[in-house]
Amino acid sequence: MHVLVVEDDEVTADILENALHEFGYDVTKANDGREAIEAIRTGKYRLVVSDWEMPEISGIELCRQIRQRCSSGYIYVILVTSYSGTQNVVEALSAGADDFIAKPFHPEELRVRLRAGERILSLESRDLMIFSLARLAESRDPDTGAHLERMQEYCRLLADQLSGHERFRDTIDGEYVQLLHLTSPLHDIGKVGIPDSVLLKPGRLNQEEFEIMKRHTVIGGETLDAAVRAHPEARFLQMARDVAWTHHERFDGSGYPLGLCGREIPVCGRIVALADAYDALTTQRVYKPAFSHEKAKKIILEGTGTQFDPDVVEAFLQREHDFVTVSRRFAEQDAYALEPDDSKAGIRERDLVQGPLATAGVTLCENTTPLATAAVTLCENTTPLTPASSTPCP
Amino acid sequence: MHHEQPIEEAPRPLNPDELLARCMGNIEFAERVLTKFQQCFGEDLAQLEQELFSENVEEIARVAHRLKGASANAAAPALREQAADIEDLARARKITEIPPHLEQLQGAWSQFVEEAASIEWLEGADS
Repeated sequence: MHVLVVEDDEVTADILENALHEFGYDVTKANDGREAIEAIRTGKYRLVVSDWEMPEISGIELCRQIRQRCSSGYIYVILVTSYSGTQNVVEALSAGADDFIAKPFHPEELRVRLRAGERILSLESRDLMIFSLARLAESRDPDTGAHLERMQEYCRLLADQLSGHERFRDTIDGEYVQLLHLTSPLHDIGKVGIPDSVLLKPGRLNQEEFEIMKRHTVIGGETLDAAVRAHPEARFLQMARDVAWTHHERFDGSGYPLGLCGREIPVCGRIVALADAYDALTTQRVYKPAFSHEKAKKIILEGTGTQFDPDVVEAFLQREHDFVTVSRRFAEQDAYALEPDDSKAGIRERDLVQGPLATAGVTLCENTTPLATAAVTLCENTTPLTPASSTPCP
Repeated sequence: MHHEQPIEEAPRPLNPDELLARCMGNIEFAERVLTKFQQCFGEDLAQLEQELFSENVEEIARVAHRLKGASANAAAPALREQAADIEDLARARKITEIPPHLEQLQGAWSQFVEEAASIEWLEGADS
């Protein structure tokens, strides 16, 4: 990896360069902040080690200018300086530095702090990869536009609202919200296994076609199950798996593929279910026009306790203004963005309420027989789950 | 019994072990660093004297800060300490108090040059 060393003292610059070479980095030296900015414009540097006190553009000012730029990727900045004390640390980090090392620097300390920086940078790659996979899964369906981006925002809003709810306080923290924002786009990744004849059919699906379409939850869930087995410690994979498996479950147990009921459904699945439904209702699809927020809200309210978790519906109501803002913000990106037209419903409302709402490109069938056969362990439950038993949902 | 405060040792002109560690055990590189340090420090010291003559406190502080950092990384703690004192005085705009500290810095610099000329690196270090 390339490191940019910014230091007006030649001796310190040479010592840093030597140490970084020993650690396996490619190093470029800049004598001052101005040279550094020119180097950063090349886009080559993701790691910067900079002095604080320099003529014209200080290390602090360099940090500010780096953060103000719209770079293609994050740039991790370590300040190396003989300034010390809490106040200076605060000033450096407030200006946008990621880390702070005091002079005289110790090579081993520099090495481990750079490694920490590389870990941060690798997360950015992970996030991009996840979103790219989700986008790839959606790419065959031209109807979805900015669906993934809206889903991320709706899910974040709901999770954030629920994090303050007594029932979810132990489950939903800031990290949970971020993870759901990251993994919610993967909810329909199983669609890659659905043939075009079903996925892209403009009209109503027959029973057999609907059974095929429902399998996208199993395909996505099983694929991510395999990933979780390979990396059991990766929390984001666990959440993505749960979302893929359960985003078509219904609160009353009549969803698919497992027929889970109530709080057997991981909360991430319950959140994505509502977010997906809202997006399906408020955007134009090949089988329906976009509904207004008010109409979508009415339909969602009618699904409270049956399709949707009442707590999640309540969170939606408390954040509905933000939902409208998100919907409008992404409307321009949506190829089929139109003014909502409640009078031209392509399907009956009854179908939307009774059947799973969120399967894009599908006119819903009333049959919601649970699909799954395999036992699945979901991250919010400690015992393996099986398909719904004959015991009625509480 | 009278307990005496432990006497703080005066900082050394040069810590060759520390410098060699910072140079990743590379003696040849450490020697190049010392050569460059002596060249740069000499130039900066001359500039410091000039800025003191001009009573330019901002520049005195800036140059002293650079000397402090370079001395720290070159494992020259005595120089670092003197440069730090001058920087603090300049930032406090106590310019009249700087000359005796500059003299001490010049004295420490002479000791450093002498020490650097007679340095013996650790056996077994990379060359």
